[in-house]
Amino acid sequence: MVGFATIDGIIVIAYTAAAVGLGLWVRKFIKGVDDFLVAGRRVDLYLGIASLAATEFGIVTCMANAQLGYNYGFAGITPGIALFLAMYLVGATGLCIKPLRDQGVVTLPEFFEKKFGQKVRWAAGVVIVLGGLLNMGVFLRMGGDFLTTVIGFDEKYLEVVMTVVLLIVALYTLLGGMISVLVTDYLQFIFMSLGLIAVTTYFLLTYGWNDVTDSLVAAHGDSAFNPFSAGGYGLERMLFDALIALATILTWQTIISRVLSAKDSETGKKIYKGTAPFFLVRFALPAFLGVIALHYFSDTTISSDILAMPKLLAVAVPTGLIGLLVAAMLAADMSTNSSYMIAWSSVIYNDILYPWHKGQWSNKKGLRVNRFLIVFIGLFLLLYGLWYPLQGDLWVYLQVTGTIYLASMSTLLVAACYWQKANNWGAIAAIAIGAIVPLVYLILQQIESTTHIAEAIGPFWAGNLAFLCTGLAMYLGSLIKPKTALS
Amino acid sequence: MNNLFWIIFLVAILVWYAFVTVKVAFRGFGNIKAMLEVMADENK
Repeated sequence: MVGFATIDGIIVIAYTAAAVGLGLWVRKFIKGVDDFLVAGRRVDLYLGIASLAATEFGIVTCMANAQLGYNYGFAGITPGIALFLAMYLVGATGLCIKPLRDQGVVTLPEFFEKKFGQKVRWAAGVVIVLGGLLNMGVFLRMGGDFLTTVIGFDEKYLEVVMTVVLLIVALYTLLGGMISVLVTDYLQFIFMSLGLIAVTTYFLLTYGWNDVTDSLVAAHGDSAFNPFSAGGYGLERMLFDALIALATILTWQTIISRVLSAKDSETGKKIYKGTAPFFLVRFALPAFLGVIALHYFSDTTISSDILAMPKLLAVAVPTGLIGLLVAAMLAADMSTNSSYMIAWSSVIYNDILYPWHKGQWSNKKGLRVNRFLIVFIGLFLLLYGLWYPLQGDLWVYLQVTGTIYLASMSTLLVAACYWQKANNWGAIAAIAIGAIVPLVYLILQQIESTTHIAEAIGPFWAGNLAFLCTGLAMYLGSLIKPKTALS
Repeated sequence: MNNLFWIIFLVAILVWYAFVTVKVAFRGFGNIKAMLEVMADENK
């Protein structure tokens, strides 16, 4: 028997209730803003690994990577390989993350203030929140699309599913902050691993390996196995993957918040090294599910490649196992949303609102404002998720919106850590250029009369250009600052 | 050749993932317990 049945519904409800209950129970340990935002900096190695691996694996990640597998075969794992290498390299060397953790800051902009001043801190906060919220904007819709497709709900219930998921997440994030996030991340890590391992093994044993690869060859030829193959994944895309991977590992707030929450920089480095292989797994296994979807639906036409994997799960996974997987996916979505909500609220509170509170507000007031910010982010997610029509690859959307802040923040971070001549002129120029290039690309893509220009440039060259121009802006901006201003 | 590489890659990842999940599950639980105990002590 395949498909979602009553027993699966019971598994999903039981898991969700347990996760929310646990998330709410730990709220009693929250006493101040530091406990709320960085769990009082008491995260040890294995909890850090579980939390980081869980946060960066949500329904969106799974769908985006399955889409890559569906469209590019095994070559679609390339971003995962880039992220794995970048994370291991940074963890092994402590590149940027060691000085960052040693400063004892809560966010990246707070670190920048020490080198570039308060205005740069504020501008960095704005650009981080802008890029982060646009990036996260599609999470809720994708989660709703996945759940309605796999469970078999009518599409008209999509908004209801989105709202229910958001309310559950907001409830325990609002009350328990980072501690609730860590504990639910831990649960999600276990469920997600079990679900993914079980489903992948089931598909490996059910469909013949040679049949699957024959379908891949028929659809994509040799490029399905080799990203360097002509007409396939593309060199410009691989370059963009590499830049995005390094910048993400160094600056993405939800990732570095685990380093900043770590009890010391050595633990932070070990968390990175220990989590690096999970970044490969989170691409490889969903991409394989996308490959299986391509094989399964090879004789039929799929209206939307992003929904190929959820449709496969709905019709090909046995009852019981599908319940475990949906619970795991729901958990993944909840932990990702909660971590992201708290990450962006921490930047808004810590950096954008800093000129007003100057670190002087009481813990009670700070907590109240942080909770209000989480509600605000939740409302934004709901409205943006309903309104924004996703065009093209989901992963490309995530990369382009992420670039709004990744290009400038990674440039600023490297310069702040390792370039003495870097100054606030260069930092402001880098922040402006880093945001303008991807935003212009997104706008060109959305306006009907300019869509062809966006298509001619392509998202990967636009992204590569953003990184190049941002680096140049930092370099030139820092050099042209008059010596009188420097003194 | 391609077939062989990718099946070995996939199985190796699955085995590693299963092993590490068990390890992180046990030790991560210990980390949570220790973290909550310290926070409870400090909040007394």
